[in-house]
Amino acid sequence: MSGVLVALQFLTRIPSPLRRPILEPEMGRSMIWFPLVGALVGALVGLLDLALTPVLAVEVRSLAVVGALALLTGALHLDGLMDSCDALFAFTSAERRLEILHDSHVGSFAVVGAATLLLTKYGAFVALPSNQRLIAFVAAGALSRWAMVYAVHCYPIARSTGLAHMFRQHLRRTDLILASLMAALSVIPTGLGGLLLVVAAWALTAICSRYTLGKIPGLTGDIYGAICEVVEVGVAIAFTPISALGWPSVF
Amino acid sequence: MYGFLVALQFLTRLPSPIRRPISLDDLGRSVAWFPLVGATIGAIVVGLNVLFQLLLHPAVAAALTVASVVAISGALHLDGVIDTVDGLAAGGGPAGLATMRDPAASSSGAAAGLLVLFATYAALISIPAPQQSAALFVAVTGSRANILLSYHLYPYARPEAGFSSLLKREATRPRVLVGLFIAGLLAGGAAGFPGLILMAAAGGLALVIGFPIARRLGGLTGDVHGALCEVAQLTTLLAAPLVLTIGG
Repeated sequence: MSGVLVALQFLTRIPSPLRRPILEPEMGRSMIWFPLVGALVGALVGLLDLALTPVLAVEVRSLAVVGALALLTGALHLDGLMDSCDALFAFTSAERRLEILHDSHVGSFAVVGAATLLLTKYGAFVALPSNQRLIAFVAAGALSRWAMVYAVHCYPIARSTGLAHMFRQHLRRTDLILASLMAALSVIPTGLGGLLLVVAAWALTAICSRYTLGKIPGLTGDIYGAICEVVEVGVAIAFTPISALGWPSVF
Repeated sequence: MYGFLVALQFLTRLPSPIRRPISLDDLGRSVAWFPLVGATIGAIVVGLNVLFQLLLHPAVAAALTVASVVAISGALHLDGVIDTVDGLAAGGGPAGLATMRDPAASSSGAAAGLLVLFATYAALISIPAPQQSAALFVAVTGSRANILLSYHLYPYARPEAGFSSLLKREATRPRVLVGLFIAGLLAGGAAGFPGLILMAAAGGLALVIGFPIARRLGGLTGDVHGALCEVAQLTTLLAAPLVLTIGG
């Protein structure tokens, strides 16, 4: 069970009760719990949204949720997205791209990439049906963190050192299956349409990973963060038209 | 037609059929085709916006349309906004020009890029649905045509030769006149006389903003021309509801 705390400590700024150093194998295996932590983050911002509903307009609440997500995660995934944009969209060689991923400077592509993503996230949150916002945040949170586990397991990594390597080394196929089950559980409240959300999350993960592999030989921790952000927005955008299909739901 | 493809490759990330290296002279001459490339991007963006509006909530549709403009252009002109503000924040002059070459963004540059992007979204979402196609087409076409004019009117800031000095050299008066005439026809065709007013007013404002920047930097660079393109595009979208409603 300490795995869920390790995942919580790694993925969020929520104060952790773990009072000891974390071992490398624990880090890798904690990925089983990524979707659960994602669902928890989604639930927290969903509750914030619910609490603000009587006093604030949907635009302001959506903005608050976008901000709360960045705060709760310590902008971990946004940082990855920004570095990935600088590295992947520059006109340069694969070696130079890997150097840019390491560079802590922010370039124009990072700024524009983050701004465009946050804008789209805001738009997607504004559009969510008013009685299903919480379950949409939970689904987006869980599926986006699941996407990282899938990408770690299914695609090569760029470097034989660093965080991505550490995660990959200790992640087993059964862990991915367990994580996938947990992601599937988190979209149950969405009903049958949840299946389409899973397909959308999987497709976006595959597209982002393959696009990256066309530019550099493997994925890195920054790329996983970028995938998490893209899938979160993708699921949030897809949620509204899918719920409009009116497929059976448990609520 | 070759010039059109070169300009398309320069101004967009659309797949290019050109399979051999482009000569610097060809690159310079491609500036004449900027208005038609603008119209091409404009047509694609209008098509995407119609599709997004059909399938999605207006808030998402507008965000995705803005994202499409950025993606098709490879953030070329927004990068210009960020670099220009970086340079001005560094005090202009030779120090400013050197800062603009640095790929790292300053916080002022980042804030400027962010604000232009969000303002573009806010402007687009405030345009009534029936006017969005005309406004978007005029905004994208007119702002790219305006690059040709700003290259013609302003001196080049850097002492050394580069892409931009070639574009500057080739932005001759006949090319500017033909380019603006074509852009005017297209804007007029899309939005009638109000479309022409919109294009002229937005382009004019962008050129006026270029004047103090040229004084601070000793001329303009490719980055500033890109920034002025963003200003023209944003201004068009901001003014569109007013101008198209009164004129239409």
